[in-house]
Amino acid sequence: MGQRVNGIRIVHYLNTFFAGFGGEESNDMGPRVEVGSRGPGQLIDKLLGYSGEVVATLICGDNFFMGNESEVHQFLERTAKEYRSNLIVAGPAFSAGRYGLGCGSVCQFANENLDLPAVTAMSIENPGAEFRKKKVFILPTGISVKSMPEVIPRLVQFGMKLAEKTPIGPAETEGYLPRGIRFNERIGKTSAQRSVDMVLLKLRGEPYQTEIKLEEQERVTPPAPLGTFGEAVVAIVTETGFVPHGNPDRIASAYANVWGRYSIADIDSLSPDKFMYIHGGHNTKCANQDPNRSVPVDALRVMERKGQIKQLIDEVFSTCGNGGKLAVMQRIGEEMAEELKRKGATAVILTST
Amino acid sequence: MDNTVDKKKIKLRVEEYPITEIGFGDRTVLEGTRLTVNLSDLESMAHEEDALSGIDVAVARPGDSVRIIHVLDALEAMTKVDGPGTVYPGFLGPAVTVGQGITKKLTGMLILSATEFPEPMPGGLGFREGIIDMTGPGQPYCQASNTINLVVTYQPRAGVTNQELDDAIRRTTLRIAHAIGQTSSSLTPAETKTYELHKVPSDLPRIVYIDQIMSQTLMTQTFLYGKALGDTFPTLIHPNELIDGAIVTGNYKNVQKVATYLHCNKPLMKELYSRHGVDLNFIGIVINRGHRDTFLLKEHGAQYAAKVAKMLDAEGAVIAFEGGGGATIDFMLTIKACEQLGIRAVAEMYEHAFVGSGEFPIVFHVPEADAMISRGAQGEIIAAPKVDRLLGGSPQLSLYNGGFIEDASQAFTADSTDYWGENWQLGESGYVARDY
Repeated sequence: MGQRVNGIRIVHYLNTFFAGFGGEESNDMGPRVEVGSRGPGQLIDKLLGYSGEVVATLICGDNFFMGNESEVHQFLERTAKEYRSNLIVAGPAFSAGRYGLGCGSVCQFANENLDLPAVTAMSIENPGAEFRKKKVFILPTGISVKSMPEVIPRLVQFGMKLAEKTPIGPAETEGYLPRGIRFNERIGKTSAQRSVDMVLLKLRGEPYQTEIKLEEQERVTPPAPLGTFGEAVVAIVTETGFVPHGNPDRIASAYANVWGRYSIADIDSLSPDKFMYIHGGHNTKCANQDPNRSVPVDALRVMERKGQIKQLIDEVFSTCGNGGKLAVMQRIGEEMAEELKRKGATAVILTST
Repeated sequence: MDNTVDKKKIKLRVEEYPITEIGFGDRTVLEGTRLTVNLSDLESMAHEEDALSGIDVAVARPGDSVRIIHVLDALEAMTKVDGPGTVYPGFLGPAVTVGQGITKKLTGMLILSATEFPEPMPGGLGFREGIIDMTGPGQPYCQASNTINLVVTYQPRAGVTNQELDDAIRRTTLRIAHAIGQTSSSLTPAETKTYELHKVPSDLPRIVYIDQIMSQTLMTQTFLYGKALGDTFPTLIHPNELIDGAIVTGNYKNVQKVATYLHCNKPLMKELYSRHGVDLNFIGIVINRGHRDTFLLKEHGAQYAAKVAKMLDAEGAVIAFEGGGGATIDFMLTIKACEQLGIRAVAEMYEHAFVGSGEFPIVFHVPEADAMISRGAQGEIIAAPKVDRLLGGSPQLSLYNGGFIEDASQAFTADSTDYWGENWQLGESGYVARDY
């Protein structure tokens, strides 16, 4: 054992069932730490040979974990420090749903809060995989524990790479579930050569693998119509790059990451002397001549006077959507929505290009 | 070798003259692989245009510490010595159908035009910068960085409009490309290539190339036989017409754009030609203007392109597009329309999402797009080095993301979307994006 102290030092997470504390009845058991390896960890330990060892096993009942996540995290933190761990391994969880969620949680906490590499393994049908695959390294397994002898060597091999800080290659070659991140590599063939190769494979009915796999995107369901407008407090929100001259918030004309709020209090109609559009992706000429055409203040003021709407909110919230990153736009949308709620808006007109 | 044109066949012989050196001298002349350019010949061509006040000419070689900015286009120097029409038809001669006879091309070199437009340009109508680095980490991301470039920078006369300047520069650069091509007229070529879609065994699969082109308005237009594509419907074109310069660009969305030399040498066209009669039957190119204004018009163009392909009895289609954002919808609808007509489609594109961002790679897609080739993700961070020489005009450089570089000869941080023709060069450099 002495020869292994400077090698890989794994803290292994297991649920009570795999650690040998019994079945359903042990599910409420709180976290405890055992020195050395338990259950599947013994095979991990054996395969590591002189490269390292499982220094400790953290064990917790699945039910307890679900209700007391942060307590288990604290246990993990203490154990990892005490045993000078440099790698966290969780599972494999196969198709056990709550166990899979626990394994994912342990790995994500290790990555983000302890700055430790971590890996787990479970079936792709496990809810833990769906929930965490974009956050942590998950190796796919079969649904049954029978595949244990095949899974553990992969887990050890991948874990060793992580612990030794070997650069991790693409998901397909390394065998983990894709995390939804794309990086470039340079290969020997041009895109044109590969395109023609693929169309011939497709025509011959031979297998081919698309290089861009398109999963279904989140769909935004439009809200139900208001019905009547008389009581509506209406706000104008826009991604057209609407700004006062001088662009005080420096909203970029592409890939914007900020938004601005511009007062229209006491303005009946937007003047081109005061407002303009900085959007870089469409022809802004007409809107710059009459800014009301992309932000319809003039029409809404008329409706307000006639009592067709109750009130127009006194600020326009604006960003530029050209090339916008989804995560950034989600954040901007949430920030705007919160402010609109605070200002009492009951309806929003969102103009886009 | 048979020198006469067989009028029954669309057959083009391209005689190539590789260039290894460009210098300046008293005469514009080609000797071996060395091209000598007489500056006053170029200046007198520029003087024919009222919109131009002068030009600067410089040479940039691969590996040189040179950065070129404010670039409009890159063209092949070529001339037609036999067969109907001229090179760059519609500009250098009437819109006579080209693609037959003999064309001479100087290879390994390009003529680049650069300028700065005098009038302000709103939004999407603007000129979008693209950097060409002849060396350093940005080089594999930009077009025209592997050729010896004759860089012509044009100065506008005071008071000209953007359109007047753009038209004058295009005419002049095409004339320069032709004049330099003519230096080869009486010389023996180093290499000869023959292009013909000859009859092939009937069991080879019939493949069409559907090429979606940008053409909206000034700064984003593309010319077919001298006429901007505008709102025209998809049509059929023979690859030999492209080789002779039937399509000329005026698109300055410089990251997405297809330069004129690339229209003459489209990678998919060249690949299909090289395999014609080997493992496929290349049946032609359908061009479709993308970025149509509404969803209905996008569908209109897509349906029409697929129908033309079907009437050619296409069994398979390779499809690529110029542009980004909204043009992806035209593109995806074309894939869908092809598959619905039983034409098996492969779609090739760069990925919109930036490298490592975790964003969805494409802005719009259809389930029929089940065979996609990735040219890689955009936005690789690049440390653009300080360079010895900056070409193209003033040193000030405005980047698309709002960044402004006071002196572009100095080192700065760019990303690959700041490079000229990046969307195409990614594919030619063999990049692919993979899931991590």
